Amino acid sequence: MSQSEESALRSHTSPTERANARLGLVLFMLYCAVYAGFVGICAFSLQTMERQFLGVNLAVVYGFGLIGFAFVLALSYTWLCKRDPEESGRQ
Amino acid sequence: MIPLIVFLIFVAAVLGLSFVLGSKAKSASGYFAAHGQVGWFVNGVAFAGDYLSAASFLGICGMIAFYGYDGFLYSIGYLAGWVVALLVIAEPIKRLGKYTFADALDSQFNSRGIKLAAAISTLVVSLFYLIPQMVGAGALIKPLLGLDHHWGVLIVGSVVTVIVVTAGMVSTTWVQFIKGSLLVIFCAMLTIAILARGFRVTMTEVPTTPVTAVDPKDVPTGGHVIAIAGLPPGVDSTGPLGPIAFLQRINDVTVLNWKKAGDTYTPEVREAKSLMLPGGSPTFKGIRSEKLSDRLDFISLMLALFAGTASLPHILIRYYTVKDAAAARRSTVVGIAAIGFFYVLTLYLGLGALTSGLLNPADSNMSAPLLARSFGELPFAIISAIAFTTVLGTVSGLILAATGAVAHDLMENVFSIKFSDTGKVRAAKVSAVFIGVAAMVLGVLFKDLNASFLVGWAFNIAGSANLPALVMLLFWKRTTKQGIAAAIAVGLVSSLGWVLLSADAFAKVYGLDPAAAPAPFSQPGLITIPLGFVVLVVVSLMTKPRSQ
Repeated sequence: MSQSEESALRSHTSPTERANARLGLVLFMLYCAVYAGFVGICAFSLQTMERQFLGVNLAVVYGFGLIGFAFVLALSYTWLCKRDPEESGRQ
Repeated sequence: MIPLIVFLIFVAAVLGLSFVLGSKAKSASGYFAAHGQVGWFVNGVAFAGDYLSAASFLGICGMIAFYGYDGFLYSIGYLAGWVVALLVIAEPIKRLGKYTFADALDSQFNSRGIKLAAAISTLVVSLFYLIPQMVGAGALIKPLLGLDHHWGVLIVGSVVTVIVVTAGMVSTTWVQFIKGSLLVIFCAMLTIAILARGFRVTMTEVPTTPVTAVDPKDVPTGGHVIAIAGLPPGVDSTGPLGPIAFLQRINDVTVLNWKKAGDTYTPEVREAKSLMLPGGSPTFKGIRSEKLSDRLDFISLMLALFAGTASLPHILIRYYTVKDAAAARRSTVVGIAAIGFFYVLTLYLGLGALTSGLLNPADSNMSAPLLARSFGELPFAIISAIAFTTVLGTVSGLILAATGAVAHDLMENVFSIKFSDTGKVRAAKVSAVFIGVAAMVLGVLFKDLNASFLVGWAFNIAGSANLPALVMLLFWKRTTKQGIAAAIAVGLVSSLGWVLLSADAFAKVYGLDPAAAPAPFSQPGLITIPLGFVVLVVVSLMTKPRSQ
């Protein structure tokens, strides 16, 4: 198989798959930014993590926030993802 | 004795299940992928059972109990990796692969180079992950069940080998499902008990002189609450607390612990508030360092945790056990829910252990079981047995992933050994026995090595070797087979070489002066993960056909 054929094969995904991949990448970038913010504050502005929110410091709030945000993103992605007609037909 | 009985009941149940399910794993599809018929919910919980290793359960709880917030950094990093798995990897890997992650990488190339590189990467990552699990099994069995180290290794190795040999992915899935369910449910119950107890003063006469203890029985117990600010006179307990109030009131607590130096234990009084910030442990002390390289080491580890999860072969193969991409997505969401919930609980479990009055300053891994003991012998028995079974679930997934790499990728695809369908299953079973025996030998050989840091290295190597190839295959049309093979090889060699030349390896593996280590910091991911991407792009551009 030539490499041009290989590339053609790889690009031969359905519009649904491409839309889902695009959505996944957008949400991934969003989470990346929030995660990078957490790591950056820890590494370069530790005193910021001492700030209190409702009697709990930012380190704990941000940490729980990251875990909760991951779950919210996961639910959103599943909710927003399109399904291939072929897959839907099998249900 | 009770932990042993609870553990034996669990082992008998999973072995019985394995033999019953054995008939469903006679074909290669059944053995390696459970025929792709596992339900998305079961698969999601099995993800948790596969992923939540002894390092997650005992290691994180112990780290929080000893050093405070730093253990929670692992919880955050380990969970974040699942976002990558869901949003980037899950759907395409299900669509492209069959039994192993090499299948997905090679799905459009039919390249021996890719299969070989991916198989070697799978074996190296699985090995780095396997050693600490086996050593952990040996280390746990003495305090939990009263048996010697090698018995822990032999019991886990034998049981897991039988599980994998009898019914491959079918039995492995159910073992991981049961283990994941038990772990999350009992940790939730333990957390409820911690909240219901609140904080109470457990010591009024605070020791000030060091204690020397040669015999483990003489080691003083730590984790004592000696003062709680804001309580009315004559009251020594906060009473039941809600989840938020617990985290607020921990700031009012003063605890007594013992600092270990050789056989001498020195009392150490600290306000718990000071433990609620990152950077207090030896692992993450770089956060508070003035040196940039120390901070980069922290960033590198957090990047490796983020990037490594979605590249772990034993996690990736679980995507082949469900029927379609939608099921892959849903099962990852269930996995994130179960794993995320568990990691939230780790903060309460760790802080509960910190204030339990039963902390063993000589062994942080015992913090969670001893926390359970503070509520009675039965909780201790159950948590101890669950702690031991966490090793079973993770090791079975690792051995299965390594088995697929040997029988499917190397023997059949690289060395072109022709198998019938049943012959391939037979080859896989024989491979599983050899890998199981190797795991047991390694578990005994590395007995004295503090091997928990190997898990961090496994994430670094997986992220460096596998993630660039996976991501670029999926999202960059110009990716060539040479680019993929080169990225895996360079990512693997560079990250492995880096960790072997790091200060951590010098200090913990070779017993040499860490200052003499040539690697500027210990965690390679910050350099070697981007390096994998760069190599893939450069090699792909150099090897693209003229027509492009």
